[in-house]
Amino acid sequence: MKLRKIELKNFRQFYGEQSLTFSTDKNKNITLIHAENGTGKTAFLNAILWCFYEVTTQNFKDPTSMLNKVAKSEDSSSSYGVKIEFEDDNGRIFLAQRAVSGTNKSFKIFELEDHLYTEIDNPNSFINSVIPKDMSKYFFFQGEGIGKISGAKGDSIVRKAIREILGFTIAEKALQDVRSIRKAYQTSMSNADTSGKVSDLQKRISQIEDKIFASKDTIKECEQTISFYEEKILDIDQKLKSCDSAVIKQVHALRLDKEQQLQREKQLQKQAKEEKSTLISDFATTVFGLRLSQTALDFIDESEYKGTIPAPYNEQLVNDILKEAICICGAEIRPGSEAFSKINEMLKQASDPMLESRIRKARSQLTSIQQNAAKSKKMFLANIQSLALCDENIVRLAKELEELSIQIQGSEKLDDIKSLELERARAHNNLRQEEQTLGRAKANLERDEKDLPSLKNEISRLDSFSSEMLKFRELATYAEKVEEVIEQTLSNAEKDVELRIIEKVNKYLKLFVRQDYKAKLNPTTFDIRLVDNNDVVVAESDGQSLLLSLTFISSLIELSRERKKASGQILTPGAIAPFVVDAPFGDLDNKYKGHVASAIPDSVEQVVFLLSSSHWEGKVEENIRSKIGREYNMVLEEPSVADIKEADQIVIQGNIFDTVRYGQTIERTVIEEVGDYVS
Amino acid sequence: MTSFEELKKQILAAEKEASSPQNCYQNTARLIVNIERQAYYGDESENKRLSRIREVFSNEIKKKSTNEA
Repeated sequence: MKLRKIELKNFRQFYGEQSLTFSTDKNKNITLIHAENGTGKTAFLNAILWCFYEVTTQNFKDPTSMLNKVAKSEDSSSSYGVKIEFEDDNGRIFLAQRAVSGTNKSFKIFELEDHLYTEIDNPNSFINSVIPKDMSKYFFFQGEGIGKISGAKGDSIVRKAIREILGFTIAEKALQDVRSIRKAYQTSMSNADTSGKVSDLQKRISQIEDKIFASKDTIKECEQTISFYEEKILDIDQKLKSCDSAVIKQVHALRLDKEQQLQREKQLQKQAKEEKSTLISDFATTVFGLRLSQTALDFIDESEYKGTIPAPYNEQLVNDILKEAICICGAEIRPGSEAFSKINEMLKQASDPMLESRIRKARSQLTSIQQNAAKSKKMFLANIQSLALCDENIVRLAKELEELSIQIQGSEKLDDIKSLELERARAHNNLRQEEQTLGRAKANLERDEKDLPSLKNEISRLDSFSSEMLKFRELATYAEKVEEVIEQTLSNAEKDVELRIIEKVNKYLKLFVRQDYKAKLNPTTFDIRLVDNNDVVVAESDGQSLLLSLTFISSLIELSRERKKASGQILTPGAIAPFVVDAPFGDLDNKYKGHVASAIPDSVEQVVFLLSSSHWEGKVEENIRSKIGREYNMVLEEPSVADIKEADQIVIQGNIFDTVRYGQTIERTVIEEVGDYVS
Repeated sequence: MTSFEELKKQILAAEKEASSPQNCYQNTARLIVNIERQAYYGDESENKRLSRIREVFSNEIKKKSTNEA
């Protein structure tokens, strides 16, 4: 999308009709609007948002009072509105107009072709297909309230922004609806079940599914909170590391070392416990079967000794002799003869091959139990020793850590250290609790996810389904598959975008930041922090925070542009849109301002800067002058007299322009053209 | 050796395949998300949203049964 023209009628400070034409030139793609504080920068930005979406920025005061005060005093039912002419990516031209007259509101969009206006059906859907409402705030951007994107308050801003630019809002609503409809189908299936078997199972399945969702939510929240506390502790450790007291530094360094040792011991303890479980599952039968195996082996040996097991002669051999009627010595053995009957008698005690085989196997297994028992005994003993050592070390280290913490807390003359210590202790305590909650939630999830498939299989094995039940079962199964598709799409998209965003942010930071810093994103909390080349988090200055925030927004816009062609259509495709920004440069020093001002027009197709003189004078003007296509100045007209007030003026390219005019008929803001550098 | 034109055709076909719904469930997900979009952006009633989604499911099941038959 490119903005072409805007007309404001009786909108806030803009009495009557005020209009402005935007630069749509490829090279001179900046429209610069000079506006001192209070003249209407924020109102102008909100005119665009209000026209397209009937929304306003958070810092826009009295959003229900849009009608200009003077127009209202002339006629309280005066109309007000905003018209915006824009072109889409294919060059088609449209006109969006939102107007309010008394209690009547209207919003329409027309396509302009060959001087004819054709109204578009479903204007809300249309404008959202050009730039979705949930992404709009990143393109029509309130720079003054940008705030920090890093740290405790920033992580939710980053997460929310990324999800909105990906179009998660709609997909998540779809997921919720599909889930609730699936449950409704399952309930209908249960209600149609006269036997009661299916409904019981279904009830249990629904309960387990609810528990699974709850566990997943808990796990997500815990992981975020854990990350938050870990970051907090890191911050505090940084401060303690760089505090003024040498003693505290030393004790703290020792403490960090002990904490690492404790972590290692806990890890070893965990491994030893896992090894114990493995040993039990591998060798428990061995241990318990040891005596029994010895008794059985003794029995076999004794019977062999007595010649009863195995029998001294083989059944197959005896049968062969009788069949052939020839003894192994070669003598004839006729049926009915004495030799024949004696040999036949031997069959009663002959051993059959299967029995021999079973005895061989039994002996082998019993011997194996004996051997394993000896081996496993050694392993169990080693494991027990290992666990005991870990327990001992953990107790010792915990005590040492407590003593070190008491030393630091006891630094009476250093109140700031004391309070840092208390904060650290609190954070550690909260962290431990969250880790316990996380552990429990994971265990519950594992158990429930294990139980669920078997219950579902039970249902499918039942054969008492009426046609009504079958219908709902089919619908529920289908809905479940669709749910999986949406979940998978959301999960894959979120994973992919983290890397891409941080690459882009670092690409900009490399150009702008003086120090060798880069941005790092915590994938759990979405906290973006600056780190140095040792990967240590930097305590950001206000300027650096703002720079990080601006580079993040630029990266979002770039990402959205790249996603424009994405057509999986579950996530909202991206948008190519103008970047309209109100007062972005805040705490940036001159050099940073210049860098950022110059980079923005290179990364977007169309830029509208709303800048007060403090923002644009110096490096900003120097860096963007050649890219300005159109330039305007907002002038506040005031009925009061100037009296002793100094003239409010700015200098643009050597010419003086008023920013305030006193002694006027009415109070209003007028938009005056300063220059058109493209026509 | 594959000609440049042939290669271009193959890449475009692969892109088209990659961007089109791979199975009926993806297609249904896409339809449902479009319904959500219309409801969220204000051109469709929120109340009708759920009944339209149910309609999508019913139609897809009917289509599936017809294809199987």
